[in-house]
Amino acid sequence: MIYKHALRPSSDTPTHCRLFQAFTGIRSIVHTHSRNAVAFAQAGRGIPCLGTTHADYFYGEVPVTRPMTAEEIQSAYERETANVIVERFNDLDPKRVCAVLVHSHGPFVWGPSGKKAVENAFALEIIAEMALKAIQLNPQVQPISSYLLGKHFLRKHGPASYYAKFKSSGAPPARTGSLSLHLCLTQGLPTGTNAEA
Amino acid sequence: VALSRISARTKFITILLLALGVCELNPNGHVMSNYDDIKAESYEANLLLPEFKLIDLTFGNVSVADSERQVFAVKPSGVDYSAMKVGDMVVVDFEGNIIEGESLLGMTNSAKLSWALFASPSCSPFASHR
Repeated sequence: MIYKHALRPSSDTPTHCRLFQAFTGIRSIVHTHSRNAVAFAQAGRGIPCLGTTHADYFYGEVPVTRPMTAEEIQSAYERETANVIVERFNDLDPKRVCAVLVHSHGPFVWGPSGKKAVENAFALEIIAEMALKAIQLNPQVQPISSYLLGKHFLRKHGPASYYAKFKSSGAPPARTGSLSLHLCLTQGLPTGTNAEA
Repeated sequence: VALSRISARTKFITILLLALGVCELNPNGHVMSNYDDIKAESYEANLLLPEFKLIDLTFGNVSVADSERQVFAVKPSGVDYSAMKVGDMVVVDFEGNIIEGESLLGMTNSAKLSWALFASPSCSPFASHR
Protein backbone atom coordinates (compact mmCIF):
# COMPACT_ATOMS: atom_id res chain seq x y z
CA MET A 1 0.00 0.00 0.00
CA ILE A 2 1.46 3.30 -1.00
CA TYR A 3 -0.61 5.58 1.18
CA LYS A 4 -1.24 5.73 4.87
CA HIS A 5 -4.39 7.46 6.07
CA ALA A 6 -3.83 10.77 7.77
CA LEU A 7 -7.13 10.41 9.62
CA ARG A 8 -8.42 7.32 11.31
CA PRO A 9 -12.12 6.46 11.42
CA SER A 10 -13.97 7.17 14.64
CA SER A 11 -12.73 5.05 17.52
CA ASP A 12 -16.28 3.67 17.84
CA THR A 13 -16.07 2.15 14.35
CA PRO A 14 -15.92 -1.50 15.53
CA THR A 15 -19.19 -0.91 17.38
CA HIS A 16 -20.80 0.35 14.16
CA CYS A 17 -19.42 -2.64 12.23
CA ARG A 18 -20.91 -5.17 14.60
CA LEU A 19 -24.29 -3.42 14.73
CA PHE A 20 -24.53 -3.23 10.94
CA GLN A 21 -23.74 -6.95 10.82
CA ALA A 22 -26.29 -7.86 13.50
CA PHE A 23 -29.19 -5.52 12.75
CA THR A 24 -29.62 -6.08 9.05
CA GLY A 25 -31.63 -3.36 7.42
CA ILE A 26 -30.52 -0.38 9.50
CA ARG A 27 -28.73 2.18 7.36
CA SER A 28 -27.39 4.69 9.83
CA ILE A 29 -26.10 4.59 13.39
CA VAL A 30 -25.68 7.60 15.67
CA HIS A 31 -23.72 7.68 18.89
CA THR A 32 -23.85 10.68 21.18
CA HIS A 33 -23.21 11.57 24.79
CA SER A 34 -26.38 13.66 24.98
CA ARG A 35 -26.80 14.55 28.61
CA ASN A 36 -30.24 13.33 29.62
CA ALA A 37 -29.90 10.02 27.81
CA VAL A 38 -26.49 9.57 29.42
CA ALA A 39 -28.03 10.28 32.83
CA PHE A 40 -30.26 7.21 32.40
CA ALA A 41 -27.31 5.16 31.11
CA GLN A 42 -25.20 6.15 34.11
CA ALA A 43 -28.05 5.35 36.48
CA GLY A 44 -28.31 1.95 34.79
CA ARG A 45 -31.97 2.52 33.95
CA GLY A 46 -33.87 2.17 30.72
CA ILE A 47 -36.08 5.08 29.73
CA PRO A 48 -39.65 4.07 30.55
CA CYS A 49 -42.38 5.04 28.12
CA LEU A 50 -44.26 7.63 30.15
CA GLY A 51 -46.08 9.44 27.37
CA THR A 52 -47.08 9.70 23.76
CA THR A 53 -44.00 11.67 22.70
CA HIS A 54 -41.96 8.60 23.56
CA ALA A 55 -44.52 6.26 21.96
CA ASP A 56 -44.37 8.19 18.69
CA TYR A 57 -40.76 7.08 18.26
CA PHE A 58 -40.02 4.04 20.40
CA TYR A 59 -42.28 1.04 20.97
CA GLY A 60 -41.87 0.76 24.71
CA GLU A 61 -38.97 1.27 27.08
CA VAL A 62 -35.63 2.27 25.59
CA PRO A 63 -33.49 -0.48 27.13
CA VAL A 64 -30.20 -0.25 28.95
CA THR A 65 -27.53 -2.93 28.54
CA ARG A 66 -25.93 -4.83 31.37
CA PRO A 67 -22.61 -3.47 32.64
CA MET A 68 -19.66 -4.77 30.65
CA THR A 69 -17.31 -7.25 32.28
CA ALA A 70 -13.63 -6.63 32.92
CA GLU A 71 -12.77 -9.09 30.17
CA GLU A 72 -15.01 -7.31 27.67
CA ILE A 73 -13.55 -3.93 28.58
CA GLN A 74 -9.96 -5.13 28.40
CA SER A 75 -10.28 -7.06 25.15
CA ALA A 76 -11.97 -5.71 22.01
CA TYR A 77 -13.82 -3.02 23.94
CA GLU A 78 -15.64 -1.30 21.06
CA ARG A 79 -16.79 -4.54 19.45
CA GLU A 80 -17.86 -5.94 22.83
CA THR A 81 -19.86 -2.76 23.35
CA ALA A 82 -21.90 -3.75 20.31
CA ASN A 83 -22.14 -7.32 21.54
CA VAL A 84 -23.85 -6.28 24.78
CA ILE A 85 -26.29 -4.27 22.66
CA VAL A 86 -27.00 -7.27 20.43
CA GLU A 87 -27.42 -9.42 23.54
CA ARG A 88 -29.92 -6.93 24.98
CA PHE A 89 -31.93 -7.13 21.75
CA ASN A 90 -32.28 -10.91 21.86
CA ASP A 91 -35.95 -10.45 22.71
CA LEU A 92 -36.43 -7.00 21.18
CA ASP A 93 -37.02 -5.82 17.63
CA PRO A 94 -34.51 -3.12 16.58
CA LYS A 95 -37.05 -1.91 14.05
CA ARG A 96 -39.51 -1.04 16.83
CA VAL A 97 -37.02 0.23 19.39
CA CYS A 98 -34.41 2.12 17.41
CA ALA A 99 -32.24 3.11 20.40
CA VAL A 100 -30.36 1.63 23.31
CA LEU A 101 -28.40 2.92 26.27
CA VAL A 102 -25.05 1.30 26.93
CA HIS A 103 -24.61 1.01 30.68
CA SER A 104 -22.46 3.79 32.18
CA HIS A 105 -21.80 5.08 28.66
CA GLY A 106 -24.57 6.48 26.50
CA PRO A 107 -27.01 6.10 23.66
CA PHE A 108 -26.69 4.37 20.30
CA VAL A 109 -29.55 5.17 17.94
CA TRP A 110 -30.30 4.02 14.41
CA GLY A 111 -32.59 4.66 11.50
CA PRO A 112 -33.21 4.28 7.79
CA SER A 113 -31.11 7.31 6.80
CA GLY A 114 -28.48 9.55 8.33
CA LYS A 115 -30.96 12.34 8.85
CA LYS A 116 -33.64 10.09 10.36
CA ALA A 117 -31.14 8.47 12.70
CA VAL A 118 -30.03 11.88 13.99
CA GLU A 119 -33.67 12.91 14.38
CA ASN A 120 -34.26 9.76 16.40
CA ALA A 121 -31.23 10.61 18.56
CA PHE A 122 -32.69 14.06 19.11
CA ALA A 123 -36.10 12.54 19.98
CA LEU A 124 -34.34 10.22 22.43
CA GLU A 125 -32.71 13.14 24.20
CA ILE A 126 -36.07 14.94 24.42
CA ILE A 127 -37.96 11.96 25.84
CA ALA A 128 -35.10 11.28 28.28
CA GLU A 129 -35.43 14.83 29.62
CA MET A 130 -39.22 14.51 29.82
CA ALA A 131 -39.01 11.16 31.63
CA LEU A 132 -36.41 12.48 34.07
CA LYS A 133 -38.65 15.41 35.00
CA ALA A 134 -41.77 13.24 35.22
CA ILE A 135 -39.96 10.85 37.59
CA GLN A 136 -38.83 13.83 39.69
CA LEU A 137 -42.41 15.10 39.93
CA ASN A 138 -43.85 11.66 40.64
CA PRO A 139 -41.37 8.93 41.57
CA GLN A 140 -44.19 6.37 41.32
CA VAL A 141 -45.14 7.31 37.76
CA GLN A 142 -46.09 4.29 35.65
CA PRO A 143 -45.55 3.55 31.94
CA ILE A 144 -48.47 4.30 29.64
CA SER A 145 -50.91 1.54 28.77
CA SER A 146 -50.22 -0.87 25.95
CA TYR A 147 -53.29 0.57 24.20
CA LEU A 148 -51.92 4.10 24.16
CA LEU A 149 -48.43 2.86 23.29
CA GLY A 150 -49.74 0.78 20.40
CA LYS A 151 -52.02 3.53 19.16
CA HIS A 152 -49.25 6.07 18.92
CA PHE A 153 -46.46 3.89 17.63
CA LEU A 154 -48.38 1.74 15.20
CA ARG A 155 -50.32 4.57 13.58
CA LYS A 156 -46.97 5.89 12.33
CA HIS A 157 -44.88 2.77 11.89
CA GLY A 158 -45.44 -0.43 10.02
CA PRO A 159 -48.06 -1.63 7.55
CA ALA A 160 -51.05 -0.65 9.71
CA SER A 161 -49.93 2.97 10.03
CA TYR A 162 -52.33 5.67 8.94
CA TYR A 163 -49.47 7.09 6.97
CA ALA A 164 -49.00 3.90 4.96
CA LYS A 165 -52.73 3.71 4.27
CA PHE A 166 -52.84 7.28 3.02
CA LYS A 167 -49.90 6.61 0.81
CA SER A 168 -51.32 3.42 -0.67
CA SER A 169 -54.84 4.79 -1.22
CA GLY A 170 -53.70 8.16 -2.42
CA ALA A 171 -56.26 9.79 -0.12
CA PRO A 172 -55.11 12.87 1.75
CA PRO A 173 -54.60 12.51 5.48
CA ALA A 174 -57.46 13.85 7.56
CA ARG A 175 -55.14 15.30 10.21
CA THR A 176 -51.83 16.38 8.85
CA GLY A 177 -50.66 17.85 12.15
CA SER A 178 -49.84 14.54 13.78
CA LEU A 179 -48.19 13.29 10.64
CA SER A 180 -45.51 15.90 10.93
CA LEU A 181 -44.22 13.85 13.86
CA HIS A 182 -43.74 10.87 11.62
CA LEU A 183 -40.02 10.26 11.68
CA CYS A 184 -38.61 7.05 12.88
CA LEU A 185 -38.77 3.82 10.95
CA THR A 186 -41.49 4.04 8.39
CA GLN A 187 -39.19 4.00 5.43
CA GLY A 188 -36.41 1.87 4.22
CA LEU A 189 -36.35 -1.07 6.61
CA PRO A 190 -37.27 -4.52 5.42
CA THR A 191 -40.03 -6.23 7.41
CA GLY A 192 -37.90 -9.17 8.46
CA THR A 193 -35.38 -7.10 10.40
CA ASN A 194 -34.22 -8.85 13.53
CA ALA A 195 -31.26 -9.02 15.80
CA GLU A 196 -29.03 -11.96 15.22
CA ALA A 197 -27.58 -13.44 18.33
CA VAL B 1 3.99 8.63 3.16
CA ALA B 2 6.06 11.14 1.31
CA LEU B 3 4.61 12.68 -1.79
CA SER B 4 7.79 11.83 -3.63
CA ARG B 5 6.75 8.20 -3.47
CA ILE B 6 3.78 8.95 -5.70
CA SER B 7 5.62 7.93 -8.80
CA ALA B 8 5.46 9.23 -12.31
CA ARG B 9 4.15 5.84 -13.31
CA THR B 10 1.22 6.19 -10.91
CA LYS B 11 0.40 9.61 -12.32
CA PHE B 12 0.60 8.19 -15.83
CA ILE B 13 -1.77 5.35 -14.98
CA THR B 14 -4.18 7.79 -13.34
CA ILE B 15 -4.27 10.02 -16.39
CA LEU B 16 -4.58 7.00 -18.66
CA LEU B 17 -7.58 5.62 -16.75
CA LEU B 18 -9.19 9.05 -16.74
CA ALA B 19 -8.67 9.28 -20.49
CA LEU B 20 -10.18 5.83 -20.97
CA GLY B 21 -13.21 6.88 -18.96
CA VAL B 22 -12.61 4.26 -16.28
CA CYS B 23 -12.50 7.00 -13.64
CA GLU B 24 -14.21 10.38 -13.45
CA LEU B 25 -13.40 13.56 -11.61
CA ASN B 26 -15.92 14.89 -9.13
CA PRO B 27 -16.61 18.65 -8.85
CA ASN B 28 -13.72 19.04 -6.42
CA GLY B 29 -11.28 17.82 -9.01
CA HIS B 30 -10.70 14.49 -7.27
CA VAL B 31 -11.20 11.12 -8.81
CA MET B 32 -14.83 10.27 -8.24
CA SER B 33 -15.26 8.04 -5.24
CA ASN B 34 -17.49 5.02 -5.46
CA TYR B 35 -18.75 6.11 -2.08
CA ASP B 36 -19.55 9.79 -2.67
CA ASP B 37 -23.22 9.17 -1.79
CA ILE B 38 -22.72 7.64 1.67
CA LYS B 39 -19.84 10.02 2.44
CA ALA B 40 -22.07 13.00 1.70
CA GLU B 41 -24.99 11.58 3.68
CA SER B 42 -22.74 10.78 6.63
CA TYR B 43 -21.12 14.21 6.51
CA GLU B 44 -24.47 16.01 6.48
CA ALA B 45 -25.82 13.84 9.29
CA ASN B 46 -22.71 14.42 11.41
CA LEU B 47 -23.15 18.17 11.01
CA LEU B 48 -26.69 17.84 12.38
CA LEU B 49 -25.31 16.71 15.74
CA PRO B 50 -24.01 20.15 16.77
CA GLU B 51 -27.05 21.75 15.16
CA PHE B 52 -29.33 19.70 17.41
CA LYS B 53 -26.98 20.35 20.36
CA LEU B 54 -26.48 16.64 20.83
CA ILE B 55 -22.74 16.78 21.34
CA ASP B 56 -20.11 18.37 23.52
CA LEU B 57 -16.49 18.61 22.45
CA THR B 58 -15.88 15.92 19.82
CA PHE B 59 -18.08 13.19 21.35
CA GLY B 60 -20.46 11.61 18.93
CA ASN B 61 -20.51 10.21 15.44
CA VAL B 62 -22.84 9.12 12.68
CA SER B 63 -22.30 6.34 10.18
CA VAL B 64 -24.25 5.69 7.00
CA ALA B 65 -24.10 2.29 5.33
CA ASP B 66 -24.45 0.87 1.86
CA SER B 67 -25.74 -2.53 2.89
CA GLU B 68 -25.45 -4.04 -0.58
CA ARG B 69 -21.74 -3.31 -0.69
CA GLN B 70 -21.34 -3.97 3.06
CA VAL B 71 -19.56 -0.67 3.69
CA PHE B 72 -20.26 2.48 5.64
CA ALA B 73 -18.95 6.02 5.86
CA VAL B 74 -18.13 7.32 9.32
CA LYS B 75 -16.77 10.45 10.95
CA PRO B 76 -12.99 10.55 11.35
CA SER B 77 -11.59 10.34 14.85
CA GLY B 78 -11.06 13.47 16.90
CA VAL B 79 -11.87 16.00 14.19
CA ASP B 80 -13.61 19.18 15.19
CA TYR B 81 -17.06 19.43 13.62
CA SER B 82 -16.41 22.98 12.44
CA ALA B 83 -13.29 21.91 10.52
CA MET B 84 -14.63 18.68 9.08
CA LYS B 85 -15.00 18.26 5.30
CA VAL B 86 -16.98 15.72 3.34
CA GLY B 87 -13.73 14.25 2.04
CA ASP B 88 -12.69 13.50 5.63
CA MET B 89 -15.37 10.82 5.99
CA VAL B 90 -13.73 7.41 6.18
CA VAL B 91 -15.21 4.43 4.37
CA VAL B 92 -14.95 1.14 6.24
CA ASP B 93 -16.33 -2.29 5.41
CA PHE B 94 -18.48 -4.31 7.81
CA GLU B 95 -15.40 -6.25 8.89
CA GLY B 96 -13.63 -3.06 9.93
CA ASN B 97 -11.18 -2.73 7.05
CA ILE B 98 -10.56 0.82 5.88
CA ILE B 99 -11.67 1.07 2.27
CA GLU B 100 -11.22 4.75 1.63
CA GLY B 101 -10.16 7.86 3.47
CA GLU B 102 -9.28 11.06 1.71
CA SER B 103 -8.06 13.25 4.53
CA LEU B 104 -4.96 14.36 2.71
CA LEU B 105 -3.95 17.26 4.89
CA GLY B 106 -1.44 19.36 3.07
CA MET B 107 -1.21 17.05 0.11
CA THR B 108 -1.47 18.16 -3.45
CA ASN B 109 -4.21 17.34 -5.86
CA SER B 110 -2.03 14.85 -7.64
CA ALA B 111 -1.56 12.99 -4.40
CA LYS B 112 -5.29 13.04 -3.87
CA LEU B 113 -5.74 11.79 -7.39
CA SER B 114 -3.32 8.97 -6.88
CA TRP B 115 -4.70 8.03 -3.53
CA ALA B 116 -8.26 8.03 -4.74
CA LEU B 117 -7.21 5.89 -7.67
CA PHE B 118 -5.50 3.34 -5.51
CA ALA B 119 -8.30 3.34 -2.93
CA SER B 120 -11.13 2.86 -5.35
CA PRO B 121 -11.75 -0.84 -6.00
CA SER B 122 -13.45 -0.39 -9.35
CA CYS B 123 -10.70 1.89 -10.58
CA SER B 124 -7.75 -0.08 -9.43
CA PRO B 125 -6.83 -3.54 -10.58
CA PHE B 126 -4.12 -3.93 -8.00
CA ALA B 127 -4.91 -2.04 -4.79
CA SER B 128 -5.95 -3.93 -1.72
CA HIS B 129 -6.45 -2.60 1.75
CA ARG B 130 -7.02 -5.85 3.51
